[in-house]
Amino acid sequence: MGCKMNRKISIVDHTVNEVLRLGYYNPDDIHLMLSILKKYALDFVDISLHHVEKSGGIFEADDLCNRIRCIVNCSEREIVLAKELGFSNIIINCSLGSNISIYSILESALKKACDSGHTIYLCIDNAIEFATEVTGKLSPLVVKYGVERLIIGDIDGNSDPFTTYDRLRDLLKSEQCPIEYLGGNEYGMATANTLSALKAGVEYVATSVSGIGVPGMAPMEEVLMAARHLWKNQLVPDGSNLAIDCKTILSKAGILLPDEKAVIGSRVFAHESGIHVDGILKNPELYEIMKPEEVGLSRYLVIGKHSGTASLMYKFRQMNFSLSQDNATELLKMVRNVAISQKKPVTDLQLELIYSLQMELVGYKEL
Amino acid sequence: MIRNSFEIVDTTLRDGEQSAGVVFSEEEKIKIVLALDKANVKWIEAGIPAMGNEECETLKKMLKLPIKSHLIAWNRANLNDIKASIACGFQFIHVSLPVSDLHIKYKLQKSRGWVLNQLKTCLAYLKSYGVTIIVGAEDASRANPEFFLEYANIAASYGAVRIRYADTVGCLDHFMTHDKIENIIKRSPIPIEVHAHNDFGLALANTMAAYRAGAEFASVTITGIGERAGNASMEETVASLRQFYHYDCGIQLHMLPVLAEMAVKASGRTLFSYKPLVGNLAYHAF
Repeated sequence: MGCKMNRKISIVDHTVNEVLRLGYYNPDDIHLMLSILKKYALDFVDISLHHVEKSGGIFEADDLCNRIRCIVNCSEREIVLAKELGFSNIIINCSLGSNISIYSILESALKKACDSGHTIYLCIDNAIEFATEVTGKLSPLVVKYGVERLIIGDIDGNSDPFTTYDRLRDLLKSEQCPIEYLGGNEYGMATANTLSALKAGVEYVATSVSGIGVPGMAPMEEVLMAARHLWKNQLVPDGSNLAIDCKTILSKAGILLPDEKAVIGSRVFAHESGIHVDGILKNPELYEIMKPEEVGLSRYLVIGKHSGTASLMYKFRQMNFSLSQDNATELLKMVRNVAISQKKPVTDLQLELIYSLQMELVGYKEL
Repeated sequence: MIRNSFEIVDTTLRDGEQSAGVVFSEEEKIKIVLALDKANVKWIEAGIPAMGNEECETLKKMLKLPIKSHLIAWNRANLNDIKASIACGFQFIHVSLPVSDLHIKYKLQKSRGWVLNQLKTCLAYLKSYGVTIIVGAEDASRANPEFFLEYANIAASYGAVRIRYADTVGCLDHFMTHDKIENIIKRSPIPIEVHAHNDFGLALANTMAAYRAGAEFASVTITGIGERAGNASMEETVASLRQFYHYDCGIQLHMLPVLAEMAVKASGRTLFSYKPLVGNLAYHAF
């Protein structure tokens, strides 16, 4: 299903930045996160200078520094400080808008960064809102100061995915350095916008595990697995440990992953409703677009209010109890009543009890 | 310029409750219906009468509520299920059949011809009761578009007011959704309702893509609760229509956080702090 697209995708991570924002500074945990993220097409990990300062310099003299970019504002003080803290890759971040002197302020910052020997990345965090003519004004600066990559931002998530695609496609035609895309998730469009960026031809995209961040980002797992499974992009890394890897990273920051989180939530391959379970037992492809093990999860069947006789019979077979169709219908009524009264699924223990009661009722006939 | 109208169909009480492990009590359902009505949601998929007597009693109570919203009964396309909906007193009835060859072969173990005949049988029965008919096409995103149109033509010939195009397993991205819906809308005799699932986090984007392509209805759930990774969320759909297309679908914005809290509590879940628009770390547009 879907269009094939086999371009390389490179992930710029914003998970660690959010973990630091939350105040988790344990160097061992950060190293563990970085080592996990490296499995998923990692290009860079972006961290705000502000968070680095608060962390007490846990990245100093670290061999992982080469994989980290330090985000600074258009401030000579911050640019110098980033260098002093050991960062050689910096992102100079600014917004376009009513400040007409932004280009001269930006030029001063770029000059300082150049003089300090930084490798420079330039982020305009609202660039998507502006026509190519406006961002075109940046081109001379990009060339003059050897900007490594121009980051086109939509940090407030103000653009829809079709506009994002059109604007980035136009920019890619005219820009003289590689383009990166950074999309916020305020309206829930970040995954789609990021996929639009990739489809337009951008290689580098910003994501975070499960979309964490303030503002939120495109969830890494959704972007990668959509490219792998919907676009059949074979260059995307294998996801067979994805769920546990993402959960491990989030747990280090005390973040509990919702069970229903797309791609990696523990319940996204859980099935209860009669129609779905009946289908899953016949052919899982009927109700699953990918195999659970392709993202490191397992399928499981839940017995509850919406169960049907097919799932009940299957469940009892698994528990080594035989059950006829007629008795399954009777038993289903009891199962539903229990689920409704307790407002949650029926446990295996409860099922055994219900089965025993039913056996007594029918005098052990045919069960 | 997008010119089509776009109405919200809430399916929290049907597809939302079908999410594994979720059970809404009668009291919670009635509260949610009243809140949806207060929010100006015109269409509410209230439940499945075929679930049994207890469900029917709750649904009958909902039908007696003094509300403006239209309550819809969801049905598999078989006469027993439909009779249960008629007996409850529903005036708006949704009938669903799968339309992809995959579902027809492996789930139904029937043929395309059987599907079309079954639809005709059910719709003829419903037409005799004079109810408003809505037809669902399960797994439409993996179906042959010509067969979908054949199915839509039958629905239209029995007076169905719209047909639901379900991306049952969430296998489309927004580009594919736009192309497929645009292609179908050119030839569909009745309006299209998009029903997107969130398996890759694209249910909202696909719903917006369908709107851009000319769909006139979208089924959504509060906070996106639904099978597996869920559905398109009502709050994101309503906010995105305003933000990206300056379209007001008539939903009362101030009710969306209220609805979100209600659905989360009733489903026994917690709201992810980073969830757009309603999470406690999110930007609040309402």
